[in-house]
Amino acid sequence: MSGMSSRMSGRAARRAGLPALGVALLVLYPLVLPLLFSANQARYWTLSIGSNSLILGVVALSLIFMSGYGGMVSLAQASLAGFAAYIVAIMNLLPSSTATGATIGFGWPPIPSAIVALILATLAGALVGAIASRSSGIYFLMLTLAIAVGFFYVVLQNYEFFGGHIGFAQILGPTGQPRANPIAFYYMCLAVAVFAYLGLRYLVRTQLGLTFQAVRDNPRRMRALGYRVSLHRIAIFAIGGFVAGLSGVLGVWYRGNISPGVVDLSRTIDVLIIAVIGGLGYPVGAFIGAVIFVILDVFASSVEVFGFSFDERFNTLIGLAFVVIVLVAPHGLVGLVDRGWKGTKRRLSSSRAPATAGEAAAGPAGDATEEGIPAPVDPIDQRDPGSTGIGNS
Amino acid sequence: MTFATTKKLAVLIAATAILAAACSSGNATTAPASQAPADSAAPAESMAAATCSGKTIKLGGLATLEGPFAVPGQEGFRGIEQALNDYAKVEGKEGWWLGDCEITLTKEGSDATPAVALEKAKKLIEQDDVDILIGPLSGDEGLAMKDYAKQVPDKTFVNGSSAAQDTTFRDPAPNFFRFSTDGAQWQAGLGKYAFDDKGYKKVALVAEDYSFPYTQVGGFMYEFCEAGGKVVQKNWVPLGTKDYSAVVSNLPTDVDAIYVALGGADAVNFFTQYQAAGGKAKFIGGSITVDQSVLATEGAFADSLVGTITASPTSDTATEPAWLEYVKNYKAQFPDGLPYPGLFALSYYNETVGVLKGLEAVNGDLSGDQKAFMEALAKVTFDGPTGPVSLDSNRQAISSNYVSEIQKGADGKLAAVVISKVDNIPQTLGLPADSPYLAQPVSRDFPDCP
Amino acid sequence: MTVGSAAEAPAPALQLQGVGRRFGALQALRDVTMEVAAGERRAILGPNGAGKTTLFNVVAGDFPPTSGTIRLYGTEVTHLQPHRRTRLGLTRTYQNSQLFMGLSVADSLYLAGRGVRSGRFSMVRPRASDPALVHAREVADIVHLGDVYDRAVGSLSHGQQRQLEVGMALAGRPRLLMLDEPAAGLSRGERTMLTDLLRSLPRDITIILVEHDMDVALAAADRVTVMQEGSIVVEGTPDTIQADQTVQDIYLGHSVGAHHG
Ligand SMILES: Nc1ncnc2c1ncn2[C@@H]1O[C@H](COP(=O)(O)OP(=O)(O)O)[C@@H](O)[C@H]1O
Ligand SMILES: [Mg+2]
Repeated sequence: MSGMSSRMSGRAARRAGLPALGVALLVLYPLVLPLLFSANQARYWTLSIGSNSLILGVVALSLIFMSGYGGMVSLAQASLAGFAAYIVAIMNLLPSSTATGATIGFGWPPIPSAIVALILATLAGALVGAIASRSSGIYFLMLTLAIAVGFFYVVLQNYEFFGGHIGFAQILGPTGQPRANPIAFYYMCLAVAVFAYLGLRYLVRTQLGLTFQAVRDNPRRMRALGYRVSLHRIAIFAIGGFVAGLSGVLGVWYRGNISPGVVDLSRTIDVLIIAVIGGLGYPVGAFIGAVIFVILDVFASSVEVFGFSFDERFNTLIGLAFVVIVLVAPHGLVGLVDRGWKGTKRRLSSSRAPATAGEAAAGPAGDATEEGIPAPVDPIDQRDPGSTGIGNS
Repeated sequence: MTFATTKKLAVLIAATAILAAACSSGNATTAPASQAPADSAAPAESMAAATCSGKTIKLGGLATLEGPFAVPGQEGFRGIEQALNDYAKVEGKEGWWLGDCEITLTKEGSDATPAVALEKAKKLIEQDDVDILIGPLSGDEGLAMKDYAKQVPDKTFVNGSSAAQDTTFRDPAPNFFRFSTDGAQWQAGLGKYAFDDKGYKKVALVAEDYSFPYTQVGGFMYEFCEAGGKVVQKNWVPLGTKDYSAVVSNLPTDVDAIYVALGGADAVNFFTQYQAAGGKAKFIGGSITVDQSVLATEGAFADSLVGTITASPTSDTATEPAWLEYVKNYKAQFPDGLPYPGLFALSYYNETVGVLKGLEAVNGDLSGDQKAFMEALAKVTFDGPTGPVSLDSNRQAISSNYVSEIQKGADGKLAAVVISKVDNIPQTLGLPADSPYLAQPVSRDFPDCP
Repeated sequence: MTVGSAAEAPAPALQLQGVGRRFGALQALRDVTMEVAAGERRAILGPNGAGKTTLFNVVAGDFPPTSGTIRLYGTEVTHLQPHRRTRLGLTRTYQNSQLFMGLSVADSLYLAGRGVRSGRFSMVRPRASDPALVHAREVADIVHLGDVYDRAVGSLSHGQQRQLEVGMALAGRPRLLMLDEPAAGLSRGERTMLTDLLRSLPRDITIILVEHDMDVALAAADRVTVMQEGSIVVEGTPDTIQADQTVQDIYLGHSVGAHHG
């Protein structure tokens, strides 16, 4: 907060430099590809690897945001993205142009369709929050999972609104057919991803963003400070819904079509896996996780180990790779790098000057940074022994 | 509130999902090495005589290796490989050849959703730069593939076993070819046989709710409704439905038969629950409803299937020499395959044979954005394992179909016994081009003859 | 210190009428009736398990009483949600610190000040001149946390965390401030600082203090309420309480000066 204004130290400057470098590389990426690859491959790396990673990264970002700043791992994010995608299709298409006899359709241009989709995804996120945020632990996971599965069956079986099993096709975004102009499409995805990332970074230092972290750390104290905690939980879901919606809008423009397969359980799990690979506590991990996921998914079938081809067992290879990542880096790959770096730093600084008592007691949370979200303290540890939690929902 | 616990659980769930993914292909049989010994199957015809040289022809194979169609996906790849083994083997050489041009195969697996099928197709076409893509396996994937094919006019797309009607019937892609018949053609002869020979006048139907069963139901109803039969009730259930109690109790009792277009486990579940509920009706089966995988379960419902009529482009009990040769080669090349190659293997096989014939006709020359090759491909005809195969003006196969009836053999096992076989079945099943049945795409509500 | 000016005030800060709270078979509070005048400093004493914290929880709204009524400045709040009571001017500290371990001191004090004002959902970053930020800074100085203003709460010493507890309650500009053993675990020097701080607070803040340390409690209090097994045993001025035989028996005799957290 005030820290932001007063603490523009060398470290902060360095930390600001890193993202800028990252964004510069991402801007150059599609321009360099034609120098390395054939035109076909350059397009593939621009769209199927580059844009697709950004799109998946944005939905994973929504999950990481909610988990890191709100302490809530929602399994409904892929469904909220899919919901936005469906809304884009419904707003964009005319009933006559759908193959399946959907009776709703408005024929709006892409951008207004997207705006409606984002508004509705935000509201849908809030609704999920209103339903799910009263529970916690395994029940919270089960509720969000139930919402995800329920939505899959709704779109699968509803023909009037969602086009049933077949869904909708021929949905074009503002840049037109992605293949026709891959670089424009890529930059649109990049712009949205950067907007989402920086927007959330800004948000978490605002009044609202701070309330999310405070509710995560200690909802009881938040109530005692005058906050209506349930509304703040709903707000974080709404924002998570909006960010997931961004991904859904880009996704439907990327694929050009939408069908129930885009909101089935495996997509939910994909998002979770991406977030876990990248690191649930690190927003930038969403994009790192997405790139690794996409590359593994694409190339696992081309891998040969000692002459044994994985082409028909590519899932085995993907699975093995993920298991290794989860085992080696329980806080995700970004967590691995971050903690490794901090560990080194701590060792260096402690050899120079003895840590104060406060720092010694601090542990990792002492390094509250803009990048890594300090792990929430398990509220069980701080529960007032005199409280049953009655009325604490 | 213990959201920290939620987070730990989430990581746990992700890890579990990962493990599940790792194991999901565990029961799949390993693909035979592409260098199956050439002498294990005498090539039907070698293409070594073609005067191709100095190039590599890259084929991409796309089938389903995850989800409900994982086993059919294995079959699909066997079909591609068998065609290559049968037609593109050269004595004393590893690999597959057209003249001196090597033919390579890159495989990708989808999970039967159009989104994933498209991603894998893009990978094969754009990243791996294959010349010809063979696939996909299921109906909705095929519809998506046709749309994608239009965006890539300089590559050739050849179907796998996907059998939705509109993949080729309406708004076709000029570079999409289908040497396998569609789901309606797979029902050719069944509606007539049911009405004329079995005397069924009134039926109700239970089918999965997506494009392939729509096409199957359409093919059946074209003939059945045209003959004067009535389909008094349609029950569409989601793919993968396990509980049929609502459907079963809803079925009318005053029908002559129930038309069932469900596949694999869905069919087994339905038949079991129908029988348990005391249902007595006769059945008419879709092409994958009473195939080996269902008959072999030998569930309590087995006896109730005797007398079920069905239609399909393959028959385990066919006796033509070409079929027997094909089955012999299949068994030799894939010792761990199914007892008989099913329609997925046959479809992919015929597609691949078509591709090889087309390549042979142009001596492997794919230059000029493959225009010459595509022209030649559209004219390919050959005698496949079940009969002659040719393409119509939409590049859709005209080929053979069997009507069969489930009977109990001397060994007590159920088998589909061929009643009749018809060659050269067009996509319209012989309806005139202006027939009202062809005026609309098949769907849940069309055709209709209540 | 004179006995409070309760009689002149229009409405007492806190009025409890027959308040009871039962946890299963345990009657943690029974028939508590008491009144704290506006501006008064009230200490609540009693052995461990007497029900002092439960009384705070019921007053703050963590859970409702199983019987009786609670009034804040004349308004009945018996079943009001906790955040609504805070907005009516009631803030509190906890016997076991309830802090935001992932946030900084600055953020905690800022949030504590904003909870009772509108704009709780603001998505605009406050500027450095924002009154809420200025106020947070002032409170930090008052509770001697100015030096660690930007530090993460998790990295503070125990004493600093206890000071932050008080700071967060103060930042909400309370009319009624309830402090649950604020001196627990503090060093002697820190205790003195705390006593000075309490003394320096203006009289428009009413204070209810649960405190084992008699030095702190009696120095700060106008009146003292002694509880045992959920009931009020005696109430009076510090002098009368110190002289009271019952109090000597149940409480002072055991733990005066001996309890240091
Ligand atoms: N949430 C609760 N559930 C069950 N019993 C409780 C709860 N809170 C307090 N108690 C019990 O109520 C009694 C009073 O506790 P408390 O109010 O914490 O005492 P004090 O603060 O005076 O030490 C104790 O016996 C305690 O165990
Ligand atoms: Mg207590």
